[in-house]
Amino acid sequence: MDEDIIIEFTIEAKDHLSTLEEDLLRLEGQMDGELVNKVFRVIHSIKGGAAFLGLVKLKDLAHVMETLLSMMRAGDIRPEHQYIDALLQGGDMIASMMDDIHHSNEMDISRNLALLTALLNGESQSPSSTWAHSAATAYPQTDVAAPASGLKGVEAMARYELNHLPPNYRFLYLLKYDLNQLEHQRITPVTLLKELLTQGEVVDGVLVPPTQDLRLGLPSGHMAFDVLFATWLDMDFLEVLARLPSENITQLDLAAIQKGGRLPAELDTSLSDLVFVSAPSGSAGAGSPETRGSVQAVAPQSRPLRGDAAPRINQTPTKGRLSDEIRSPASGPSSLPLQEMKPDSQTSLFAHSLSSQPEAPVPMASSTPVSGNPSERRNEPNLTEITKPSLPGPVPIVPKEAEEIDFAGRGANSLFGKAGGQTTAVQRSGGDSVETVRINVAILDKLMTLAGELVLLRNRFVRWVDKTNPVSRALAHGMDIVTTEMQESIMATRMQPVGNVFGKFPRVVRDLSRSLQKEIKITIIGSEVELDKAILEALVDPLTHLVRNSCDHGIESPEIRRQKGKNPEGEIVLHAYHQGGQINIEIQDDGAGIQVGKVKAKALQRGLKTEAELAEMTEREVYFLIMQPGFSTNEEVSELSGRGVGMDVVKTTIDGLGGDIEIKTIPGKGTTFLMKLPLTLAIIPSLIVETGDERYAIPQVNVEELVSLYADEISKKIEYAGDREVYRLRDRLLPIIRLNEVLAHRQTFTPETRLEIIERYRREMETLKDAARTDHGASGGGMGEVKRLLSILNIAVLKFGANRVGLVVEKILGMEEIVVKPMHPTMKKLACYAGATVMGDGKVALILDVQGLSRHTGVAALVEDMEEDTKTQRGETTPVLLFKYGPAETFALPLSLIKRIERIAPAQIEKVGDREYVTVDKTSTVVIRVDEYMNVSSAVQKDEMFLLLPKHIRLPMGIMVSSLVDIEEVDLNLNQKAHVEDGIMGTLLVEDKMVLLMDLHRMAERTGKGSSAGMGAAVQSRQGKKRVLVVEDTPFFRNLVASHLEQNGFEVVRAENGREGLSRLNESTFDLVLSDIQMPVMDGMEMVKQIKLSQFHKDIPSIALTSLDSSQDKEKIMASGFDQHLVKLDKAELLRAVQQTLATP
Amino acid sequence: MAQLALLNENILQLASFRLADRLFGVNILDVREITREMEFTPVFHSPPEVKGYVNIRGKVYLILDLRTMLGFPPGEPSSMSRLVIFKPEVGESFGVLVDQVGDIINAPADSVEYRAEFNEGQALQGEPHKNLILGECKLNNQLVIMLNPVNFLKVLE
Repeated sequence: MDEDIIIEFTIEAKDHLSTLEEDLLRLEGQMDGELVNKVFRVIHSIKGGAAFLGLVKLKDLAHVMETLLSMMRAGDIRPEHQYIDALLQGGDMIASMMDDIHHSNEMDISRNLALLTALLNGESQSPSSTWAHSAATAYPQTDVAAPASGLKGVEAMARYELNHLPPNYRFLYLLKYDLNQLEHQRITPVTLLKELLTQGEVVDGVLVPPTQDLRLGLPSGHMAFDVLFATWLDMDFLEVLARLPSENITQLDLAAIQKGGRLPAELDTSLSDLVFVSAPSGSAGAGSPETRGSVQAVAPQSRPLRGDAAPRINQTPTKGRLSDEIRSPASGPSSLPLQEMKPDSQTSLFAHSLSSQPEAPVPMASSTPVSGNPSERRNEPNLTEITKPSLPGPVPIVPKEAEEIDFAGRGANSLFGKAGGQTTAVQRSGGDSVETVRINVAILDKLMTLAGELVLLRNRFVRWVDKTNPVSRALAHGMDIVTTEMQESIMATRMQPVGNVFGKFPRVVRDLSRSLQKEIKITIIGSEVELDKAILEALVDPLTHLVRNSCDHGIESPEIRRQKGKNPEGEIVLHAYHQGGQINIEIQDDGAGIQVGKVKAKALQRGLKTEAELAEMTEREVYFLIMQPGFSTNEEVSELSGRGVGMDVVKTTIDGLGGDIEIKTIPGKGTTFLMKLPLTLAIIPSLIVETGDERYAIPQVNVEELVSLYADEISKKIEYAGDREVYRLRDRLLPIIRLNEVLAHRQTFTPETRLEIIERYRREMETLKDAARTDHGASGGGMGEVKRLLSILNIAVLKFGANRVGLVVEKILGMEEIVVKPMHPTMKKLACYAGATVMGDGKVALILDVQGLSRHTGVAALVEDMEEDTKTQRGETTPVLLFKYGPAETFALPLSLIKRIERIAPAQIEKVGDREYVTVDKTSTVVIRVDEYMNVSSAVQKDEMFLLLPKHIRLPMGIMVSSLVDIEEVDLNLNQKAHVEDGIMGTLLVEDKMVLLMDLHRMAERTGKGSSAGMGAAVQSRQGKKRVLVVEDTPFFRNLVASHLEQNGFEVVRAENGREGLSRLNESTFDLVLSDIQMPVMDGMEMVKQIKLSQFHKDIPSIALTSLDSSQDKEKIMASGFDQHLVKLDKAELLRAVQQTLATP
Repeated sequence: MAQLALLNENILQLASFRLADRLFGVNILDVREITREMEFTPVFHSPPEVKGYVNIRGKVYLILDLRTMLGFPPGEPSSMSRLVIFKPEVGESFGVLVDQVGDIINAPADSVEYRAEFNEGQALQGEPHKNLILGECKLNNQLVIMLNPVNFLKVLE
């Protein structure tokens, strides 16, 4: 039994200890009776269990702590620093004893004992002062009402009992027995107590255990058994009844005690004996009502009845009833463990009574195996009543005590579950009952793995199932839902509130602030946020380090803080919260912040970086230097430094968990460490990308944003810095990593590798730029290589720590929850992978390690945050014209888009319908008033206005302007989100002012739409509406092209492929065919061949609209019969070509 | 060295397979299963012997290309190709790609000649990794080269 019980004991005790610290800290400086009681009970039940298991040192320590607590409970001492300190240290010691329970008896607790004892002595004069050496001098007969502050707990426990004695019980005695001697006289304690109970009430009884494991049987030496006995008998009679010589009987002043006086010092002092005297000396012995552990051993069978039963019976006023029937049910003080697990001790002490009264205790004990169980507790009163009569009368003990233990059982839950190492414990805390089951973590892990596999099977199944069949679809749907829920529930079993870890920090901060002589308070937010157990456990060290770091290096000393005008009390905030499927934990302090200069100096001094390297580093990168091994910026090496845990360990741990850490700091204001963690290690949300026909997963925690660059954007935004490719994302330069190149190069990139790659792409880019310049690909030549680039460049912006990189992938497939499988052991040295996973279709995909990728390519240390020198570095600015229409906004248009600026007088404007025209160059030009197109202020009325005539716009139109502001060179990096008016491309910052960049094409489109003016009208007026057949398989392009043409006055018929196009042609007449090349069923070239073969259609002009633009492609296309070849996506070019073609007779 | 499975004292059982038109065998007790799963996920940067990852019923296995390991020219998986997956005690979740599986061979113990007893390089020319071959076994006019899968993963070290 021992091992199981000991394990159970330590588990339970650790549970209790986990709250101990927090409670003590809350108590500190702020007395709270409830809390003291709670702490008391925790220590008390540990003491009980320890005593029972023969864990002497543990018991002794708990005992002294309990004493101190009971003083606190009685109000003799206030929960001041020194007491809390001592108690906290005691708690720590207990915890470490629990960690190595088998050697706990060899641990040195003298320091703790000395500290606690000193406090007990120093604080209260009389009893406490005697408590270390009082065994011999105790029990002064007359000193009845002497304050016994050392043992207020006992008093509290017994007081209720004392105050409810029958009125004729005028005397209170302390009886001191030696059990061994009794045995000599062939008197069992049970008989003795039975006898006593015929004439009075046993208020309390304490077995003083020798420091020896009771399991080994009764010790042979002196064994003190103290009984507090209330009776109507006077001293003379009592000697007879109690079978004690008068020197072993102490009379106490019951009346005084009942009036609120103190319990006898004897009870207190006897306690000291327990602690310091292994076997009580002298005839007096030492007894303490506190030693419940041993009491339990004495009276185990009565346990089930304690609690409710005790007070009730004590309230029964009739003496007869009390004595005749049943002190025993009332008197079960034992806490369950003993009672349930220690039949041996029962036998040893109660052999006689048990055998003579077989019906009583045993069945009862088994009928209430777990004290906390609510249902069983509900039954207790009944049980008590039913079994009362059959109980063996005499059991030493005190109802008060029973009550106390019941507290322990209720509040702190049973110290042991059931005997025999069962893993189930039912808890009851406070009013509401929470049922919990202990489960081996290995089982949970297994469940987790299985759930992961089920998820994968589900994914495959759902994909495989015939979705056209309603039954299988419903089944798949059901399975989908259930699997998800199951997986979530199983994950939930592993989730634990971060409060479990956060809880230790008030203590850490408190201790640190005292040793550092700083004033620091800690605020905890989000304790309830839950994290996977494994992650939480791994977080303890990094969190501790960060908090320590904040105390040590972050928060300044009170003097400095005062000088700086800060609150002398620094604050650390621990904050946990959910964000986007991750858990964020912030450790924020309002201290000095990280000083870049200091960090740099240190890095230099430590030889971590060279001066040149430092000069190139951004602030953020400098902050991350503190994560380098062996970094400390604090000038004085404090007590806390050099503990062997560095900030580098923090980073390593967080990385290992698949998380990320960020540092934000404001010099003088404070520092925030932000840890981003996955909810669980096993299943993580990831971005799925594709390159070279293989899919790869990138943990979402590393993904910052996704960018797709189209066509000529690519050549504009991809730049070269030495041997590196960079992408300008807003104000940052991102190093570019091309996944296909990474995968193709097994060896870590050398500068040569990078140059080689860069050169390749740069050449392609040049070609692309050339192509872009030459009128949008209408002229061909060497476009083959550019083709790929022309399409789309997908960039996943990834981050790790302070670094950002852009990963170029072929496709971005979306987010997916993936089940992480570790890399095969032989593959772990491949830095680019973090693991593997099985995708929905059953294929394995590798999980990319972002940091590994950037190391592999050597781009890890590259530029960022370069906003300040944007202009000089970039050198690619565009002149824009700034102008105003209304008084409020400033608009911008690139000069390159403006044909010229006309002065006009408002009087010149003619109105036709709802449109206004002026004649410019003998052409009626639509006047565009910006406030009619978007929500902006209306025009400043002037006699002379301006008209901006745009280039490249077919529709004769001009934008009315009230004043011209300036021409500025600006970087056309738009903030496109900021302004979403239709007709505005985005906003720019010019001289710190926001200007709106006008979208001329959009304005033109809107002007042309539904108007009878404009180009379309011109076409129509000549010949009626021209009919265009648009053949295109992609709905998006089909509609784009068609509506663009429709807006410009053409009638459009759409077809999805060549065959459909041919049949449309046969249905009516067309002026033009616009066709894609690559289409299903029949491609564009085949269709055009057919058209050219047809007598009816061969004269209809045809334009190929395609993304195939290499010279070979083009030749092929033209050979098939198309009249013209256009690259997709250029609306203006398209319109121009269409109009030109139709204009030619 | 792997324990050889002895049917009775004198017979050992080999799972046989073909590779580059040669017959090989491994102790059948080392084999967990043989599968036709051929959907490899390449692990770029891995040694050339690594064929890739496969998923077999939700578990991920690392597959080695036995041809490469034994110094044969690489071949593309065919419809006859199979994966021989080994038990965990042989090495962590791995298997090898073979051209074709053959019968289980019951080899009389005395037909086995262990490596130490024949000349290095006799079985295979240019074998790049030592210790993969346990020995050979001559049976009814065919020669079975017995491999020692315990050493397979060591190739990657």
